[in-house]
Amino acid sequence: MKYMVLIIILASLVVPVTVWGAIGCTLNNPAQDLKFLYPEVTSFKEEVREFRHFPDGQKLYDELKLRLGSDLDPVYEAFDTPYTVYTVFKGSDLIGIVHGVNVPGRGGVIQVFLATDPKSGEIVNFFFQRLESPEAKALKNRDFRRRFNGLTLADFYKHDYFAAAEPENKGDRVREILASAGEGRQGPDFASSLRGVRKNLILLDMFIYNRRFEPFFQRTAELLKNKGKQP
Amino acid sequence: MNTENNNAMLIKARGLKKHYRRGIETIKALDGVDLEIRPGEMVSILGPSGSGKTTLINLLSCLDAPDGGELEVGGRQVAGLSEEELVGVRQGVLGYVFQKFHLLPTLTVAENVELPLMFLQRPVDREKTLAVLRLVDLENRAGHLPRELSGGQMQRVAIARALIADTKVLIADEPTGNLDKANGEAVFALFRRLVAEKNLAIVVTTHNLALGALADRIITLEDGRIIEEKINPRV
Amino acid sequence: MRFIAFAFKNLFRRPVRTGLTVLAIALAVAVAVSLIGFNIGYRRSIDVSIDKLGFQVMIMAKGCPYEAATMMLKGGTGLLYLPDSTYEEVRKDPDISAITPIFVGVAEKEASGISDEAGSSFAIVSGIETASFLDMKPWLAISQAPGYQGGRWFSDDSTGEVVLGFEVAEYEQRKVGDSYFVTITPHGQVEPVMTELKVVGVLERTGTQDDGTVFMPIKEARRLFNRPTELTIVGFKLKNFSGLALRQFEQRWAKLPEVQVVGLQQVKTTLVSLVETAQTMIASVAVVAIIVAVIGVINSILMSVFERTGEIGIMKAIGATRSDIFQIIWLETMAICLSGGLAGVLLALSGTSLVEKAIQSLIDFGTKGTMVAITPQVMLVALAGSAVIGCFAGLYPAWRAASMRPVEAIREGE
Repeated sequence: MKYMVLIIILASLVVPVTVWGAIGCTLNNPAQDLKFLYPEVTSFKEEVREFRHFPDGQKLYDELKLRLGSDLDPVYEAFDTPYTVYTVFKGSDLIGIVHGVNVPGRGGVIQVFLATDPKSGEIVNFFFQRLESPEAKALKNRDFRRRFNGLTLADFYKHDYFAAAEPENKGDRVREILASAGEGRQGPDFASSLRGVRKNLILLDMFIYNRRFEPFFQRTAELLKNKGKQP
Repeated sequence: MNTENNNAMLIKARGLKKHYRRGIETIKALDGVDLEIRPGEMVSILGPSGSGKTTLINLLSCLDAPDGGELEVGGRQVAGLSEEELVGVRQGVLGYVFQKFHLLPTLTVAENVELPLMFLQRPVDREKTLAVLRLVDLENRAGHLPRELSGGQMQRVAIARALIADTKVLIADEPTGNLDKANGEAVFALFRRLVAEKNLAIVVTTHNLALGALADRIITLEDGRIIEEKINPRV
Repeated sequence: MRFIAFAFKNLFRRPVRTGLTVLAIALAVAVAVSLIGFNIGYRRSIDVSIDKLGFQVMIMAKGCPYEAATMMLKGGTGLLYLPDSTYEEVRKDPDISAITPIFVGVAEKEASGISDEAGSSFAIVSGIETASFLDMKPWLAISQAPGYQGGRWFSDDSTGEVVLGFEVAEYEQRKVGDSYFVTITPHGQVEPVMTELKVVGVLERTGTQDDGTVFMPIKEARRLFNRPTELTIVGFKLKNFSGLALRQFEQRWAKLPEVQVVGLQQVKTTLVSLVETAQTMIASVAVVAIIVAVIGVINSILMSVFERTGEIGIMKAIGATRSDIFQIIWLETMAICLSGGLAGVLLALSGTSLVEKAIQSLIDFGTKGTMVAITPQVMLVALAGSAVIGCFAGLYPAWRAASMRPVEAIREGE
């Protein structure tokens, strides 16, 4: 084996290898990025969550698909995909949660990051780490992204209900955002991005918020079922 | 005594000298020897150890070069010839028999006899080999290896080997030294026969006065000089 | 030559001694043959490994970065291009066994990072000629793993098709059939152009720079980058790879202006010196074995010459010339050496696997199968070598025997 090892070492000297790893979604530069999001940050933790490490992991994974309302990509949204959750501290106080997910876009991956309130689960900041698309300009627009602040996963479930049952209801905050997006909302990467936001929130609900928002999903499903409508 | 003219003389020596150095001392192994050998005669050289017998015989047989005097072998002057040239002089003229037989143990009797032909680059003729072996009474031993022979037989093989190349002079240095009396006598009887039948010249040295007396001429050496030359009246 | 049979017969007089001498030569030759065979086998396996490194030499414009690390340092800039004519010129070199032109370009990736000001990123795009490129890197395989089924290479004339390195596909979460955006600023223009390409294949992981590379036909790459007659790298394999061949090749082409010849430095220094070290070691062991055997032969023949002093004297007396005696003794030596050589080759052939196991137990080379390659050439060289050795080993004893003076020889033998 010595010889082959030598060859491999030599080969790797000759041609630098890109770092191998599971296909997760991590901040490019956590210290800098978290300082940018939370200027008062003093420390942070980086925790990797995977479905397979949860006792009821397979059930949770099945629920992810159900609650997301769309199929999961078998290669890139697999059971063993790792998720990295950053918990941000000021001294000993937990001041924020930051989490990113990959969603396949039209011409490349889209990395959707959310910073959420540790207590309420509300979105504090929404941003793309990677997005290459003709729609990128519209999606990355700061004003557009700010509109997501304050939303929780519950708002998305409510939107599902309203969109199907009461399209004119003023309580649908998500609909307002979609309406404001204008031209950009037509493209496939817009839909992928929204799917990313939703996937991100569902995973946070499972990993961090003790499935606090799951009842909203159940309730939406029930209500729509009673009305004979599909979400 | 043979009365043929000088041209037929096979070996002709005049004032042969051979000196050896031993430290600062010069030993005169031969100090002026005159000798002639003619076809059909057997000459024995007698003398005590150190008398110069072997030195003389080596000079006569062109195995060694004299320091002085003249030597003619087979009509050729020997003085000043190189070793390779001496080989040429010897070839086909001189044949040797020594005290030790020096047969090659891996060769058969016939092959041993034929050995000189290999060096002379002459074709081997088995019929002739057998004829020579017949001369020495060993025809029936042609296929044997030397170790299967007695001492006397081995010496006879050596004689046959010396004769194979149509030799004119047979030079024998103590040929009976390693043989018992009966075998020694047989060798000399053979010599006599060869002289008679083949018109061969034979020069033989020996310690054995009785055997030496069988020659046509008996030469006695002492201190490198011939002190006596007798012609055998009985022959 | 009339003494051949005679010389052989002489050898059989002392069968044990002759046998032992032949055995000594045989062992030395067997050792030498096995070691040379091992050397050849080892060299072959190294050649195979060198082969797997892809290019042994590259030619590119002076100062052009070609490694991903350097490109990253330069932020994806600094690529320099060679004209097509250089490629046409270099491909005529008689020492090359394979050549492939490569066009490397850098595609921009839109600013990534959470703040809008975050720096730009890039992707390495390689325009290649599939046939010659794969000839150079035969291990590149299109993955058929889940998501990548149906993957294939593009044809050299196709447009809008890319094959992604494994890492690129994973990083961009692309599957076969997906779209892939590249944003390229064509040469001479200022505005980047985003092009939508189709992923037709994903490579299996190689652990090399290729994992992070986007491949497309060289024509297409030249078109997208608007450099229709240029290329970045010419990759080569040499027919007979050695440190010397590499240096000569480098010297030959480094003369071209504007061109740098880059040999794989590590390959050159490490692998080649590895081979050369092994060769030196092996050669010295073999040489020692042969010297010992030659001394044995000389000793044995001298002994037999001295033993036979009397006989040699007689032979001279009965008409053998100096040259006859010389030939006889010399032939005997030759016979010993040649039969020793023959026996040694047979011994090496039959003992190859044993030797191999022995060597492998001493040094673990990690290779399986036959490491020792005893080729017909090696056998011929071994036999010729034994003959040459015989020639030299026989000189002194033969000379000694030939110069014996018959009188003294006979007297000594008495």
